[in-house]
Amino acid sequence: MQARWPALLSRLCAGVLGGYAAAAVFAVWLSYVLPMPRADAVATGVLISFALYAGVIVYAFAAHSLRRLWFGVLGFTGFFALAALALRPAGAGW
Amino acid sequence: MKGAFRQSMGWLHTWTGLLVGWVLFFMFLTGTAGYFDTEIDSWMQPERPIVQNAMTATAAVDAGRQYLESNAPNAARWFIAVPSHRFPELRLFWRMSPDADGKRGRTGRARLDPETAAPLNYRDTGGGQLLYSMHWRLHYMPVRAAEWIVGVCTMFMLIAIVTGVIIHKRIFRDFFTLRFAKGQRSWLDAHNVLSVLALPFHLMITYSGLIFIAYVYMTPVITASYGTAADAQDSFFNELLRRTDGASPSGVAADLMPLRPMVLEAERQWGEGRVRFVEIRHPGDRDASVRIGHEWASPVRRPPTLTFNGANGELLRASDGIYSTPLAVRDVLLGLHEGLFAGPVLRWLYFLSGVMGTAMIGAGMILWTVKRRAKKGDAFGFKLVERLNVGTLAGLPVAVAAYFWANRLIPVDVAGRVAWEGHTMFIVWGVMLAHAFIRPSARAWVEQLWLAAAAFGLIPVLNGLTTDKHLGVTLPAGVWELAGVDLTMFAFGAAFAFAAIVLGRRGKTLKSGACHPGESRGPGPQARSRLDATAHGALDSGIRRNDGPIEGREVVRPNDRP
Amino acid sequence: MTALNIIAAILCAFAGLGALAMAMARHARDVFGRTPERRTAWSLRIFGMVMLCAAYAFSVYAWGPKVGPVGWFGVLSAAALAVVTILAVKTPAGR
Repeated sequence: MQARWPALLSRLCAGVLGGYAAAAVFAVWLSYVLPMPRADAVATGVLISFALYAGVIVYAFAAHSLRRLWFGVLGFTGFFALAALALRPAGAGW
Repeated sequence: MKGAFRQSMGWLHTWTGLLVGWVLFFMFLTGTAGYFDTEIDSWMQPERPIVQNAMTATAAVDAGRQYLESNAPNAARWFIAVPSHRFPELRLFWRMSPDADGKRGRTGRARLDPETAAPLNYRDTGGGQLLYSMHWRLHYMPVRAAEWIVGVCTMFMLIAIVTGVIIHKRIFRDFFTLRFAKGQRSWLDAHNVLSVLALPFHLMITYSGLIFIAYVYMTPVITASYGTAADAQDSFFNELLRRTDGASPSGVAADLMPLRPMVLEAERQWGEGRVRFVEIRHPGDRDASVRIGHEWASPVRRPPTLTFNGANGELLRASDGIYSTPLAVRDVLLGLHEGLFAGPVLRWLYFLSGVMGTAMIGAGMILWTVKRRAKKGDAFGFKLVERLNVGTLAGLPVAVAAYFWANRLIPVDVAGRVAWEGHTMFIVWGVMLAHAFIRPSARAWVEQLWLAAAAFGLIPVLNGLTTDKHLGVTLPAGVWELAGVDLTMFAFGAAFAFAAIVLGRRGKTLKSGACHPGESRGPGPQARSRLDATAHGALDSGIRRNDGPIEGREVVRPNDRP
Repeated sequence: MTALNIIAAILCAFAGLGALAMAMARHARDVFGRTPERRTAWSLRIFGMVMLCAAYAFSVYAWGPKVGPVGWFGVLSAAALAVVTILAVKTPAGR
């Protein structure tokens, strides 16, 4: 890896911050769609979220180009954010 | 493209590992010691009598109830931990009712003699519990801050494991490969072998470590379903744990039924000696409940339980401890992490895996310096890493040994001695770090390893001079819980001494310029040192190379050869 | 009985991993001075796998179906460490 600082910082942000957002949003979406009591669905989402988080961090340093990386991370997060927004049950916090 | 991918993964592995390596080393070391927390507790309270027969569950509930009724009569919750072989004392906990403004009630605890049920008064000590809790709680900081630091480091560890597996070119072909006396190659071998052989353990311990604090990190996921109200988290947990009873007492007084028949019923269902605890909610209330828990018997952390109505003694329900799949998965992960179900052999295997993990991190940290010494040996960053390595990989073990010394040497009646046991450990670690920065690093390694050897190796002697629970007594009596601590300490001392001898000898050989160490010798003593000395084994070329500039002369570096 | 089963599990794991190592050219050369023939190597591999399965069975006998698998992983790590240590000491210097 070329240790060029702006590019590196960009990947770091995509992985650490983008990864957290992606993992959290995906877990929320999962907790809405899983066919089980909501506490169990939330617990399942949380259990899986860290694997996804780690995956995104690894991907952030494996992706060929920064553009593709950010497009991927933001696209993933945005897609599941919208899906979760559409599916959110009445009485959810948002 | 495959090459570039592997390269970037290698980069990620190196830097995530380096950045948090010292914290991870601390976590692994103290956490590994934590597998023997109870044994260390006993060792650190030599006043405890050696108990041959554990108290029966029925006797325990009678004695426990009697104590709790006179010492915590209005509690919201009583907890009686039945003595077992590993925890021979009768341990009691209680929590008072919440006060008027809804704050959680005060808690209390007591330990009773398993034969006479008299309160016990042993010396105050942090014991194995303090050592164990440091691995996630750190020290000198609020719990929340520690959880975030530990969480970030654990995430880094997970990344390091994933990338490590990706960049390991020949995970199966090099499965058994460990070549001594080949400088950098040897360190890489050691790091690889220690990682791969205990990979299931490393992966389990890391992911489950994250799951412990998952709800702190992933609070937004709970919020998204439960809202932002103050009790949102509570209602989540109540739903998850299927809590229905015991929320609040009725306020109508009713005598608590005798506990003995309930315990006998549990023993009839599970077998004698299988009851681990009895928990009573709202004793003295009409809505009192008595929950009886099964001993640790499987990786599932939540035990099977029987719940009785406290006012009429009726069996309300039996639970197998599994409420839902996600909760069971979580319980298994956490249960595997803690290993409370492990008997003596499995506990040793856990300990061994933990030692391998600690050594893996140490070997990785040393590998970082060995790899870069030739090119960047004078850079500030390199020197910083090298010094921190000495002060942590050798210095932290010295500090842990000092914690054991403090337990014996701080007078029993000194106020705040628990705090000072902890202070001793961190003061010594600080001194070791300072020493590493003052001394030439080659010398610092040897000196600190010798210090570690003495500090660990003499613990049985110290124990013999200060207590009557030394090896001369514990070995003939077959009290392995106590003898094991002394013997393990001695073994660590021997391992550190071995590492120090190997390093010291190599340093001398180099100065006399007689040969290139590691190239012309057979698999001498240095060959055997690596694994038993864990991370502090032969520092191999690192030490030799460092002597060069210090002595003002350039040294041929065997590792730099093709 | 438990103790005997645990010992059996450890011995099987050690034998199995040892056999797997001896099926590998490099380690066989270090120990016996020559590489194994193809047939021998395959026999060693099969024997090794069978022994690891036996170690699993003994672990389950020793610790029960829930704790046994955990114990098996621990036994494998410990046995592998023993094999590696022996091989490392046996390996001629500089190889």
